[in-house]
Amino acid sequence: MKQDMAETVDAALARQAAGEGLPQILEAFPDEGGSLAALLRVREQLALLVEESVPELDPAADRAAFLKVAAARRRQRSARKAVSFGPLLRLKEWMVKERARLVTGHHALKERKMSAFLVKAALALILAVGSIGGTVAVSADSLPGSPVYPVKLAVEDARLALNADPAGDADLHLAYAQERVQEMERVMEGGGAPDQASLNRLQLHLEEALHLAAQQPDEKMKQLMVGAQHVIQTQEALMAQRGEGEGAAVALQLRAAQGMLHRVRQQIEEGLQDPNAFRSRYGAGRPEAAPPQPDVEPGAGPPITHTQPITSPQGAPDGYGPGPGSGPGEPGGNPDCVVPGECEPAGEQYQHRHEGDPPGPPEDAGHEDAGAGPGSGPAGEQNDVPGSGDHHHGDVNGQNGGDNGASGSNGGGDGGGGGNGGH
Amino acid sequence: MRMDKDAARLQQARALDEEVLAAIYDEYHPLIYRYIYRRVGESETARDLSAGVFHRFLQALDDGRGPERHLRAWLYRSAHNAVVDHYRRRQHRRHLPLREDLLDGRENPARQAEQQIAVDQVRRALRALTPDQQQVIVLKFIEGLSNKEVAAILEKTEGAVKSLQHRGLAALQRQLEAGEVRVTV
Repeated sequence: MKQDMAETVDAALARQAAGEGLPQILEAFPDEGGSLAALLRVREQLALLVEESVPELDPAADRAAFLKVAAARRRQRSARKAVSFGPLLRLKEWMVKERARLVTGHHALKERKMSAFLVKAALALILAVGSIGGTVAVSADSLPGSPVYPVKLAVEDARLALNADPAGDADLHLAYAQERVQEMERVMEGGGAPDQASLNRLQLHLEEALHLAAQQPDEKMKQLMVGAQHVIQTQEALMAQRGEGEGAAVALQLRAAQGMLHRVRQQIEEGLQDPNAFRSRYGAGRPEAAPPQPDVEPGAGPPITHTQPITSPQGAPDGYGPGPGSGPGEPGGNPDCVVPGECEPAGEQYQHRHEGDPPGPPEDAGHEDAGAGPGSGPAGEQNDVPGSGDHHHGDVNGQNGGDNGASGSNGGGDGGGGGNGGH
Repeated sequence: MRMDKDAARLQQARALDEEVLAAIYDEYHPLIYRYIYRRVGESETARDLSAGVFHRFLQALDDGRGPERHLRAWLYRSAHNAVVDHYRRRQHRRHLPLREDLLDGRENPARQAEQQIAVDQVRRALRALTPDQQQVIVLKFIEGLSNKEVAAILEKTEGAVKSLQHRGLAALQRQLEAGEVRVTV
């Protein structure tokens, strides 16, 4: 039985790790001689990777960058709480969600529109009557660091809150991304450097625009993507103009921003070549009226949430999105999960099991490679996503092709059999 | 226990406490960088991907998501997915360049080059495995973790880990035979 062979191989490997020689090990397992010997030699070849020297890093720079981003996020948190229009945006979202939750069927869309209308009316009244009218006008040209700059951002948030149409929101986000670029350009012309908060806002606007774009018809989606591409190209050109001689902190910031822009631009370029993949990657949380999306295939990119306002100072790849997931119906998956990687796992019953435990529900019985739950978080924990673009729904066999094809050169594939890997 | 320690630290980390985040970074970054390097074989790429893992960690904390207890497992999974994503984007690149930084002149360059080719072939063969097989093989035989530790990271039973180990090694064997790797250990 294959499970016996797996146990035999494991026992042989343990002996090899303890320093026992090949002949002695094979003597202990006379029935499996030939195949066992080959596997033990493969294990030895892996030593090449162990022995390979790992180039050292200068930890200080990367560490500082990480902590800098954390500090920026702390400041953003405080700023979000301080912005007066923040609560109104949250109110709008809450009202829309609550009404949509309570009302089913074709009335849901109408109810959402009515709720949004009520909030819209309230906000419009405030803007029209309030004494902030004059301040709003003054703030329009302000730059980061100006006392009225928060008002400018608040007005932008209010406009987003007032607009109930996703396409309109996408246009606004793109316009605000362009505004951030222009602000940074003016700051740099004045001899300053873009601050981390501005870079974070730029990223947020770009990603929101792309997220909303994925919900639009093809033509509109493409228009938004090209618009975002243009914003990025402008910003990249701006940053390229910064010569050397900047302080270390500024250079680090610029490098982080360049890395972020490069990644987003790459995703746009890939999306322009493969719109379906772009939709499946960015289109999580689509409204009912959005065009149909292709099914997410194992190996395709994951839905990327639009709440990822982060820059990676070292230009690290980002945007992995919700993590490898079991989708709905996957072994161990949460049947109510519609966005892999963002759902609570199925439950404590899929906590770590131990040898000798009886074959359990789907995770063990029939697909040994299945992940334990959506997003692969440990059962009982939130699954944010150690996200993979390759979206491994419970690790489908043969995903990496080659000889490891789905059917199983292993005689039943990696998913065959039940229990603890029995074939 | 590690899990209790992680749970307490993560609670503070969610508040983006600088000291706690620095401690987590200091403890886990070398591990994650090394793990990724061994998968991708390029230091700059490993550096970028590692930074991405930690920034996604920050993002998850800030969004109120992310690990509550199993921090190491979460980071390893994130690193694994980062590597898979990286290769997916580079799927058309079949040949890994010879890394001249390793030809340091101290050893016979021809031997060094041969060694490097063998390393790259093993690395390439690994990529042909399923993601779970790759994780088991790398965590067990390169990172040196036990079956129990690997099972915790992958959220599988130890029996499933052993099966993956068996199949992974068998698949690796076929890949290496097909690629005619000569080992010069």
